[in-house]
Amino acid sequence: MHDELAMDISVIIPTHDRSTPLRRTLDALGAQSYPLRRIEVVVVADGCTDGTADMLRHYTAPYALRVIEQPCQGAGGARNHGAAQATGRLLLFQDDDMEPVPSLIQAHVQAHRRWPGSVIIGASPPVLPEGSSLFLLDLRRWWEDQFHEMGRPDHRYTYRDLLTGNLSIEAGLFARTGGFDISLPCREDYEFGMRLVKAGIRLAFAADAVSHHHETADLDRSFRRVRQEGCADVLIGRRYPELRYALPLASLEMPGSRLSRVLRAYAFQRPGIGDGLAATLRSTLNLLERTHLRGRWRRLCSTLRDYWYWRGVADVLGSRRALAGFLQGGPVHVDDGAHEIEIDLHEGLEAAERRLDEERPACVRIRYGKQPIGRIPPTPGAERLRGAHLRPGLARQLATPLLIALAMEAAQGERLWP
Amino acid sequence: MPTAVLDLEFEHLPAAIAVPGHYDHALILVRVYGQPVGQALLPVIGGQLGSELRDRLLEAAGWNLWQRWLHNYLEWEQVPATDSPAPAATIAICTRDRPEDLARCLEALMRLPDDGQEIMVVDNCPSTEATRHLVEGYTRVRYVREERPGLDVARNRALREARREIVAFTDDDAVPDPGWLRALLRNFDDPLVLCVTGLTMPLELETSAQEWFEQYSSFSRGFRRTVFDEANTNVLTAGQAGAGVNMALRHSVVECVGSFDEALDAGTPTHSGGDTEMFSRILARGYRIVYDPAALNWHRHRRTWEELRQTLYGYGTGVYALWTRKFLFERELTIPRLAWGWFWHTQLPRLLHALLRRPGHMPLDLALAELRGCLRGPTAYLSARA
Amino acid sequence: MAMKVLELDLSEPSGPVWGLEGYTTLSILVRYRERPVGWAYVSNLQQPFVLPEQLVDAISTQLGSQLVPIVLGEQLVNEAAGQVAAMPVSVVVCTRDRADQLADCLRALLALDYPDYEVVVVDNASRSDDTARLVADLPVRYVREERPGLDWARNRGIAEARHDIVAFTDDDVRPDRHWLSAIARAFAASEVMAVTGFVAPAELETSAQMTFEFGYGGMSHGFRRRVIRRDSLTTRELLWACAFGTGTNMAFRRQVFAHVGPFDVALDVGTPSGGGGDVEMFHRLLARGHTLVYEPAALVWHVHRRDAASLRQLVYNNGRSFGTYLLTCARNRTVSRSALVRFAVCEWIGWWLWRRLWRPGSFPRRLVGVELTGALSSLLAYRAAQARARELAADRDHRLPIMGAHQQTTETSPTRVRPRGLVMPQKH
Repeated sequence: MHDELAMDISVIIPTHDRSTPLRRTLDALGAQSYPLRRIEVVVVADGCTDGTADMLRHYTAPYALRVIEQPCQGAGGARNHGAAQATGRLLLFQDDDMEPVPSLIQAHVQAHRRWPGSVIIGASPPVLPEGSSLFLLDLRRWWEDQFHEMGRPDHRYTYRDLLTGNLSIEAGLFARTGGFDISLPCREDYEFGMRLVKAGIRLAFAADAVSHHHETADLDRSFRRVRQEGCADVLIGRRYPELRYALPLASLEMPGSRLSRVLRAYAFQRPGIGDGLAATLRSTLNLLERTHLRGRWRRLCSTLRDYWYWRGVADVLGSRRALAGFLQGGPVHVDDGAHEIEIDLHEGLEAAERRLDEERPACVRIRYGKQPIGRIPPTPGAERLRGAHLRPGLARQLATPLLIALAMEAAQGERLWP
Repeated sequence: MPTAVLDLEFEHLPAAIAVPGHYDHALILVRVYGQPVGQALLPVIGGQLGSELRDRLLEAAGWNLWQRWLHNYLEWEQVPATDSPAPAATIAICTRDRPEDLARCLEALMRLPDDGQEIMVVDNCPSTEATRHLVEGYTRVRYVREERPGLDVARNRALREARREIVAFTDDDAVPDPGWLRALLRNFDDPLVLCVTGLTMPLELETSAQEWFEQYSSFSRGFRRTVFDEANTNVLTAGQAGAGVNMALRHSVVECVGSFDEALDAGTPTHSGGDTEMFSRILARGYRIVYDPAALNWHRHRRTWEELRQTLYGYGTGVYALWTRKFLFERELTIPRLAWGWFWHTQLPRLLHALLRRPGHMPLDLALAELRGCLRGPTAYLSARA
Repeated sequence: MAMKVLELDLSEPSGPVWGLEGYTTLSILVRYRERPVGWAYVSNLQQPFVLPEQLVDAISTQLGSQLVPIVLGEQLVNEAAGQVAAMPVSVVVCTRDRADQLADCLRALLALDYPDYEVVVVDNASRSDDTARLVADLPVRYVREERPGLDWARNRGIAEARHDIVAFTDDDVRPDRHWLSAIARAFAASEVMAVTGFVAPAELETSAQMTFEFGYGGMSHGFRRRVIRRDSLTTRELLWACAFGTGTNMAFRRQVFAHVGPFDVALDVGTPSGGGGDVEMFHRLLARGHTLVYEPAALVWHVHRRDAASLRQLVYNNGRSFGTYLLTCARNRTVSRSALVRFAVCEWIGWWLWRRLWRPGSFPRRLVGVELTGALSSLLAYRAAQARARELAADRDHRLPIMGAHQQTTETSPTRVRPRGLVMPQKH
């Protein structure tokens, strides 16, 4: 790789009271295959009280290391601050519990060469501690599925694919988009993703840009986080009305078990009692896990997670009536009627794919000759359609009508192309 | 009533198929573009298959066939071919004193396309040198000798000796299809998948013992590709994920999950259950098992009635041994309910039907053999483990 | 409320359908290369015509999933439709005093798309000679059978037929153009001894016809081709022999009658039992180990009874004839007595009749009651029919249909001549 073509990279790491894992991250960055003199690492110590700043001051790094201290503002604010101070052309965000492989930066740079002007998301497979609980197993499964799905060449990116743990973006682009929204308690990455998708900026996944994520989450922390997610979803829903019915809070009226309905009611009306009940059930979870009653554990965990989510929603909106009013304000089905095209499969699959790549519609109606097949509907928060999305859409959602149309065509005497 | 076993590709279905005279039924495996999609049992009339061949095969394959056809038409794969090269595999055959069967298996393995796989025979506590002489005749096959008896012992030895990332196991009385290995390896691109199992069809159904085996204890798990993990499967009924006669494991399974339980499976007092126990442990630790019917092999069931009875006895022993391990050593408290459920809903009706001689009943001695095996299971496991 | 009945072949181009004044719905039998696929219903919305786009739309919505295996199955297999050598067929039409309907039937029969066949009209004890006069100018053979009873007529038809395949149809039926070619194709396999076919309603003008077709199930047995053999049937399925086909559309290889015997003359229309001869023959044939094929491509159009009184009579006869059929099975010992009794009580009376009395579905409860009445009268009817048959057999002894006289030996089954042409209750 020629030095002249190398970009200057700024690695931005927001950190909060995790000096040991941070050290591991910094060590791994020192082992990068990318020329170290082109790397700058900006660590933003976000209200750290465990001596992180000290550790950083005494840390000798083979690359340029800058430390910024700021009072507790949250990870989003820390990243914005770090990005503002960074000098590199390419910004690479890493979390403080990541351990990058030596080829991480190389992989990100190559991905940017391949897809210029896009936002590259790298893989961050979780590394679980020994003796993993059911919660951590579920978490790992979620992450691995996420990366596996994103690794498919025909994946349709949505705002939820933006994961800031291992993300790279050109500095200019980041500045133009305005950075992360610090008014959100969490899910500022999803909000950022939404802005990118709406602006038509391409998201791409680089499967070889691997950074191992040393997972330290536990169930209680996840419940607290779910509560914050409830708040954040309301704020995101206020800003993007078309997303309201795609968010989990639209399932307010969905039937569930009696327990979940009771808890949902308590979340809005009697949070005190609800919290107490949730705490009791939380201890039951431990018992279920110890006795290996996995199905019940999973159901109860899901019910509790729902409860804390509704608590978070109730924190912002206050009452069920307010939530109903909130939901009233957005469209139930988003119909981006402005940009819908019609494709006739008679012209051939390749021609249809080319048209999709050229026109990038939000949704598409598909016909086979005179027979309608179906529609790939507009999905709020998802990128516009590309040619690669056609075949999986036909095979997965439109298999039956397509087969019927092919059969009708064959019956009326047309020879099908093989 | 011997049954002929046929393997037909739907696109090249002949108009009439002549079957040798002594068969009165034919079990037909249907493929579409090389992939198995269904099976049908048809009567043989006057040396020919009945005229309803095509209709029955279409019905048997069902929607599976049209999905496969459509995917071929759209040139789209559900499991996408990745840019990264497929992992390399070691094929391990654990055998004990069955040189004729092993010869047939090795011949079939020689016909697999060469993707750099290594073939290894683990000779488990043999009484003669026949296997060693046989393997010496094949230059591509490695010979490893394991003196301690036990199929799981041999499997663990294979895992230790293997030099490649994936270890594919097949039994010595099984015959792999040419596309077997590639179909198994294709499913390993998901890093959470530790094990891939495949479809096993009977190689022949000449004797009634083989037909009863196929009916009551078949290795086939259907024709749909299924991904099993702890969220969608009951960990204690992991036997539905596949069978040890046709499975491939990642080498790292030993570090992630542990090795096979050497107190279980053939060669020990428990007779079976080693594979199911490994599947169960893989699922419990949060990993996945993929069942892919495209990974096809053909198993020669035991021919005599006595061996069939032994097999069903061993099956009962193995299941209860596995449950003993789960209940006593892994504190799985739902085992008694599971055992009761199996007895009440499956074993007891079978026994009653056999006693009342309802049409299509399982032979009484087989039902009793399985029950006797179940009773023996817990003590067998404890003695094997000691 | 009337429905217009049409047929549409997908492999032929279709234009708009006219002539729908007075109809509210179209009932279309959709076919693909002569094979019926299913019924599609289209509303013509008070207009006198329907456009082809509406038809195609309705067909793909309603029959789409049935079409996929049939049409794409053919694409997948790429088989060249084997040209089956056209075997000569004798078509036997038994009739009694229905010259007008017979005229339509014969017109359709003479227009069949088949190279080698003959038509034999068996005039069964007609009171007038209209039939004879009608047939005189047509290239069909005329035979008169004086002993009243459809099975006497059928047996006579078998005796008179010159060819190896004998196909039966009724006089109130219009066979499809490709009827015989479908039957001949089904007989291509040498094991097949009998073929039954699909009976579609020719018209659905009156409410009696619609009740019969939709409430009772009509006379069709589905769109799936089935090969039926004894060893794949349970005793219960073997006894429900009316599920295998109907006498309005059936064909046999002549040699099978030498093996199992002719139609039982104590049964069927014209005798006190009122029906059941065809069902009994299917049952006997299967019980003896022969193969029957239900081939829906062998299609005929039947004009159902238009008025309610005839429908009641038909339903009554159905009940009675099924009872006499079961009694005949008991006499012939094709199944064990205990199985037969269990079937008669639990299945027939209990499940089919009694249960439908409480939950009739779309069939009027009154008619279920009529069928039950008919069922209960079957014992006496059976006795009466047996007595009558004995009388008739003893009375005239000219041209008794003894098998063997016109028998041609074939390689598949040995020629066994047994004097079972007579109806004498015998001990087997």
